[in-house]
Amino acid sequence: MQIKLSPITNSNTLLNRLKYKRISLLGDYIPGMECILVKTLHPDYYLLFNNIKAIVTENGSKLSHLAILAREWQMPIYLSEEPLDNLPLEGNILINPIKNEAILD
Amino acid sequence: MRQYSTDEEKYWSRPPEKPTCDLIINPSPASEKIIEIVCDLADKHRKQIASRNILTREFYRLKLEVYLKEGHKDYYNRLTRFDHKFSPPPMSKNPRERIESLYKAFETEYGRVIFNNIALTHYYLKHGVVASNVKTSEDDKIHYLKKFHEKNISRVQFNDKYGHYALNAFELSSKRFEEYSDEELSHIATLVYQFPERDKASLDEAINSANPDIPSILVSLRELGKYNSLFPIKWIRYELLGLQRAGKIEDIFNHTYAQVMEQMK
Repeated sequence: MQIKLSPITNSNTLLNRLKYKRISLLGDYIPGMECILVKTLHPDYYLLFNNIKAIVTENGSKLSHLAILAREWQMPIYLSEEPLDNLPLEGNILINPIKNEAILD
Repeated sequence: MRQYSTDEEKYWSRPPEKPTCDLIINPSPASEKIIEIVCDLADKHRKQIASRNILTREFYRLKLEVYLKEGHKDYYNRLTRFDHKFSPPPMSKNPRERIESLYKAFETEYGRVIFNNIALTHYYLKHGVVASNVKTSEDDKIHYLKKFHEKNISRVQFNDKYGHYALNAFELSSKRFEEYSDEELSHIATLVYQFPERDKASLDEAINSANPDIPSILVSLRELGKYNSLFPIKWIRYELLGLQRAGKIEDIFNHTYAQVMEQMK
């Protein structure tokens, strides 16, 4: 499954086969997940910055507090052009920053 | 008189986004009032900055410029005073009055957060950069969680500073950290105990610096504003829980503000 993304914070690194989980609250996070798919850039997710490598979100702006902190951490955040509810709850994700797309399996 | 840049004009005149999308995740009916207050505040400010009346618009812009230059210092002074002064409404008032006054306190406090946010956006649209080079309450919260995890501070010390915080903190049904058991709090702390702490200036140092980093200061002020806005939120939660315990309303967070007020008549 392929989804189109637009970057909120920039990254040039291809992120290959990250374990992802779609979460709606911080408490849904399972250690070991490297990418989270979230509805909004809620500041609570800052607590996960030491554990994850990327965030895909459905809503958010460059001035969200989380986005400002992410720039400082060089944490890529992407806005998904598709509703995340349609995606599998967890799996692997490849994020291609050149094509601005993600592939999920 | 200075005009808007085209980008800024476009930005403010487009339909408002829901300003609360990252404020509360999955809001309960009880928290809809919080969202309504924040939306109304944001709308009120947006109407002024995007006003067709040139005097209203330019006066608002002037207020933003003054705020960027000097006004934010007053806000900082007020926030640090408020930190020590906020107390819940007296028990001599009835619960209805207490709840109303707590919502009012939240509205007053959050109105300033919104103005600070608009100033930050205004700065960003003009200069295109916003960073976070000044310590924020979020950094401080992590610092305290780490200290708690390492047993360098007691639970009482943690609660004193961040007990009114919560996950999904503006959601009224969210348990405050001071309501957590030690085990529950330790679980949160384990997420951050290896968090690298960055060497950043404190807000106090940044504000008094000869060369202030304005966007970073505004980011930090926003978080401090939110820190203070969470005191009334905590007390609203406790008032609602009090009503539930007294058997007046069951499952209180599934009731809207209007329903609660109606039942308390």
